[in-house]
Order: sequence, then structure tokens, then C-alpha cells
Amino acid sequence: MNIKKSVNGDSALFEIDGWLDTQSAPMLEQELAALEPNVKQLTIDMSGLQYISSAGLRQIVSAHKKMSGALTLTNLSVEIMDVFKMAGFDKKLNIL
Amino acid sequence: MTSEIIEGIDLESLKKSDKSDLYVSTKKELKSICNAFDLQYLYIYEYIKDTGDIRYIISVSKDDNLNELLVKDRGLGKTVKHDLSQQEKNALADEKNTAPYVFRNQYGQVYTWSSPVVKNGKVAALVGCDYYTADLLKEIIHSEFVTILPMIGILVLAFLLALFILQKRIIKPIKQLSSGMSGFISDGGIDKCEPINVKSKGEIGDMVRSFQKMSEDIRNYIDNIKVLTAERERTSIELDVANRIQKGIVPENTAIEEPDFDVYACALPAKEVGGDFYDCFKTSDGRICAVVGDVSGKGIAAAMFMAMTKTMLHDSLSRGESPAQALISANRSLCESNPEGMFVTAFAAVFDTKTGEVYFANAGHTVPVVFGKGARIVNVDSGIAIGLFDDAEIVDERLTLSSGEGLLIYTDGVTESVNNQKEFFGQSRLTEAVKNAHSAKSAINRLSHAVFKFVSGAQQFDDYTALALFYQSGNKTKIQLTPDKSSLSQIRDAVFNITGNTPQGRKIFLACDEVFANIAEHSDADYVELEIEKNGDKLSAVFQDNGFPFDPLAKNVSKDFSELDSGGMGLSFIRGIAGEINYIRKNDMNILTLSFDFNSEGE
Repeated sequence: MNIKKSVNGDSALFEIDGWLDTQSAPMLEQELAALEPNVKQLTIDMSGLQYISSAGLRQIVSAHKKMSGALTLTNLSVEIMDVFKMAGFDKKLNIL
Repeated sequence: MTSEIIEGIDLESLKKSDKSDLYVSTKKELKSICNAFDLQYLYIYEYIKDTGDIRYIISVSKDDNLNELLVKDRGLGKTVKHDLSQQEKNALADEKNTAPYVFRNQYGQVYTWSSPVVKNGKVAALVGCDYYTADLLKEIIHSEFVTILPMIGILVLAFLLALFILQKRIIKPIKQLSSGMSGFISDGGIDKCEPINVKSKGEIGDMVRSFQKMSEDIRNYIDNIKVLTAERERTSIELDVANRIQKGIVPENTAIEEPDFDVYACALPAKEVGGDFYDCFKTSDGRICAVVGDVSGKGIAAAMFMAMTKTMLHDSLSRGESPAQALISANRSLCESNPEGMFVTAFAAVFDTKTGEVYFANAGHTVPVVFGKGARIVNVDSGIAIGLFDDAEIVDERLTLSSGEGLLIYTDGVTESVNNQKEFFGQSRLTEAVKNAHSAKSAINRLSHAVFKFVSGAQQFDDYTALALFYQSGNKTKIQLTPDKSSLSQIRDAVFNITGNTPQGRKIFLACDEVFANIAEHSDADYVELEIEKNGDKLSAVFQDNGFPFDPLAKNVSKDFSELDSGGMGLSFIRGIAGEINYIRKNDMNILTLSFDFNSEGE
């Protein structure tokens, strides 16, 4: 998995590609922890994401909490969206 | 003029006796006058003033028959009551009459002239003469009749004769012919109608005979057609039966499916019965025998030859003979009893389902194709069709299918399927269609689909038979895992080896990922085993671990969204993805079986 990170003032953009599973989830955890405190909004572009497991979803929930809800997910493939729906996240998260 | 002649006659002497010579000669003379002037009567008479009667002196007629009657009626001295006509009155007064007295009696128009006979200056008597025009007419008519009547009679007779001949020769035969014809064309008349009995000669006779001949011919044709139709019906029933028997010998589809392999075959005969065949069966030692063949020609003969060949090959192969041995012995038997000089091209194969090895022999058949990881035409010995030469050389060859590869055997009906542009389907379209197939069934389905799409509406003119063997050793995998997340890639490889890295495969892997994560995080097990098996359209994953007893089905997984960062989604994923979940605790082991619906086509 790769995470491309860019920060612009108080908003940040993560572009994730590859597999977000038990093994790679800690990478996202680290990137979230490393965000500057002034970042208030986070957008995660998932266009390159092929796989996500519950371990990955846990980090999405952490990010949501950390941004006090100001988390936006973009470019989810049908397959990834299915997993979000299965967890009921499509109703809780701001998905574009 | 008459009176002048008469005036010369001595009336007084004449009155004396009608027997006197004078009387007779006078009568003769008067008669000659009568004849000369064509007078009916000529008579001399006196008018007796006192009584108003008239008294005849002499009367003659031109007609001799009447003269005798005249002697009696108007002879000498005969007195007759008579009203005088104007002319008579004039004559008595010795005046000239300019016109005759005209009247009609039953004989016709009568013209009467009256003239005085003057003796010594006195009117002594009257002369009357009667002229009958009717006589003239009568005579004319009479003479005409005498000549015309026979002619009319002859004409009438001739007409009647002509009518009779016409009736007998033309009208009657035509009527008979016409009734015969209408009888012939009426419903069912062809069978019932009697032959027309007309002995007429000439055109009518010719016509009748022609019609007779025509109706007989038609009747014969109809009889022939009836016989032929009955025969054809019988043949078609026999063909139907033959077709059913053939379907029994060569079913439209045959499938053998096991975890490590599958075999699928389909056959579509072009006509009611064809010469294509296939055979596939499992021997007692677990190998698969497969044969595809094509008998020269079509129809019943080809089908019988096919049945014979198929049975021989089946027997030989099930006895454990190699493909070449089976083909050679079938060839020998066929050569011994092949009066029609028919032949069969065939490809026989024995497939070791444990190793993927295929032993095969070719007898002049189309070369097979290996498919699954791309497609390639197999380079095989061409051999020779069986049934023709009893020393045919056919050799055994061998190839090994790697897991995920299959062998497609087909008849030329597949590659020679023609579309509306008269193009052949060909080998390149065939290899393109099956190259990515991941089972025998999918290979045949993809091929059939491609062929039917290609021909689209054009009539299939040859038999179409194809058989595929597919080797998939990875359909069943058992792996031992250490309960650590680093083992995930092992699980992923095991799943993808069967499913491929497809959306469907990733979903199945997600469920396995969550199960394994649970075990690794919570069970405290130090031994985990996973067995994955594909069976038809089902895929099962069995996890065994020696950790704490844990039944995931018993756990309530409803959690608040904000708590989900600490976990709890995994179980809902497992439940959402797996069609069936089964948990048992056995020999101090947790055994969790997940069952997934798996579509081989990846759809």
C-alpha cells in the first residue's frame, strides 16, 4: 500500500492505493498520528484502493473521530463501496 | 265479244231440245270459248219478268266434271229463283256493262259479266260468264306445293338426320365427357369416378381418350404419392427413433465435475442423425477416458457406423488399453466389416486427473487445443482415419496439463461453421474463444457462444461436437499457518489460486482475512490450518485452530459507529459474505466452515 500525503493549510489529502488490510493498516495509523494539529479537514482519495478489510475500516473510524467528522472519502470503486455498505459506513461517512 | 258470237246462235231452235245436234254443237262451241278464255262458267238464260225467275237455256264450264252437274242444275229449262244484279238489270235494258259483278264465294273471287242477247232489236236472253280468280291462285299454289313439299320434306328429314347424328356423335359424348370430368374433379371423385364409356371417333373421341388417359395417370400418380407418403411417414418415425437412440448414445451434454478436474462435452447433430460422436467416462482407477470422432457421411448409415466405433473404443479403453491400442483394434474390426468403405476420424485420450497427464492418440482427426493460460494448438501426430486400412499406424503421445489448463477436442464442424458471409469460424477464433476459460464447462460454453454469435442465423450445416478436459490441482488446498498477520499472504495466495484475483476472489478472501484476524488476535491458538476446496459452484474454506473455544455465531456484533475503531466489524463481514457458516468444537479444536457461492465464469 502507498499513501501520498499533501497538506494545504488546515486541510489534508491522502491518496491511498493498493491493499489496506491488517498488515498495512498501521501505516495509515502512523500517517494520521503524524498530521499537524492545525489540520482540521481530511480527504482520502481511494481511487487506487483495491482492497480494504476491517482493520482498514478501523483506521477510517479513527480518522473520522480525529477530524471531528470533517472526513471526506472520494473515488471509491464499486467493490470498496460494497465493503463500506456491509459495515454500514455509507450512512455515517461523507462519501463523494 | 261473247254476246256477238252468241247472237249468231238460233236461240229458239236451241230451246227445243238439249239432245239436238245444234244444242250439242253449240255446247261444244261455248266450251271452246270457255277454255279459250279460261272461264269457269258460260251460260245463257232468260229472265221471266212475271215470276222474277231465270230459266237456263244452256250452261257450260271449262271443267268437264262440272258439266254434268250443270246439266242437272242449270240445264235447258231449269228455272231458278234469282235476284237480279245491277249488271243483269243493265244487260236487260241493253246497256253496256263497263265492269263485272264481283262477289266472293267459297272458291274465291268471282267476276261475272252479264251481256244481253239481242234478237230482232229485243233482248231475248242474257249471257253470263263467271271467271274465278281463285282457281288461278289455287293452281299456282297447287303447282308450287307439288314441287316444294317434297323438297321441304327432304330438308326436314335431312335436318332430323343431322340432328340425330349431332346428338349421337357430338352432344351425347360431350355430355358424358363433361359429367365424367365434373365427377372427376368433385370431392373424392378421383377415386370414385367411373371410366367414361364413349366409343366416339374423331376429335371428341380423341378428347375423351386423352381425358381418360389423363385421369388414369392422375389416379396412378395419386396412388404412388399415397404409397410414398406412407413410406416417408414410416421412415420419418424410424428416423425419430434413430435420433432418440443416437441421443442416448451421444447425449447433447455430458459433465463430470470433481475438485481437481472437470470434463464437459456437447454435441449438436446437423441432421436428424449425424456421424459425430464423443464419449467420456471415468475408469475404475479414477482416470478419465475421452473420445471425439467424426464418421464420414451423415444419416442412418453414418450413425450405425458411429455406434459401432464408439462401442469398440469404449470397450477397449475401459479394459485399460492405451488410446492408440484402442484405435488400432477398432480399426482392425471396422476393416473386417466395412462394405460401404466408410471411415472415422477420431481422437482418443486418457487423462490422469491426479497429475494432469494426458495420453492420447490421433486417427486423422482435427488437432486439439490446450487452453486456460492462453491457448495453443497441440502438435500431434496426424495418424490416419480408421476403417480403411487394416495396417493403419496410430501412435500414443503424451502431454501434461499444468493446473489451470485444459484440453479441447472438437470436430471440424466447429471450425468449419460458416457465417452469412461464407467465412469459416476457423482455428484462430476458436483459440481466442477458449484461451482464458477456467473450466471445461466454461471452455465449451465460451466456444458455443462464440460459434453461435459468429454464424448468427446462418444454418448450421455440419455436426458440431466438442469435448474439454480441465485440470485444476489447486481446487483443493490445505495450508498450515502460524497465527500471525504475516500469514495473510499465504491465505491470499491459496484463495486466489482457485478464484483468481477477481472481485469475487477478493470478497472471499476478505471473509477469510477476518476469520484469521479473529483467531490471530483473540484465540491464543498456536496452530491454525486452512483447507480450501472448490466444488462446482461452491467454494468452502475450513479453519481449524487449537485456541479457546469460540463460536463466532454466538456473539452479538451490534456496536456503535464510534466504537468500531476498536474492532467488531469482522464478524459482520464474514456473515455478509459467506453463504453458510458452520461452527463445531471437536477434539479441542475450533472448526469453522465457511461456504461461498462461486461462479466459475467470475460473473
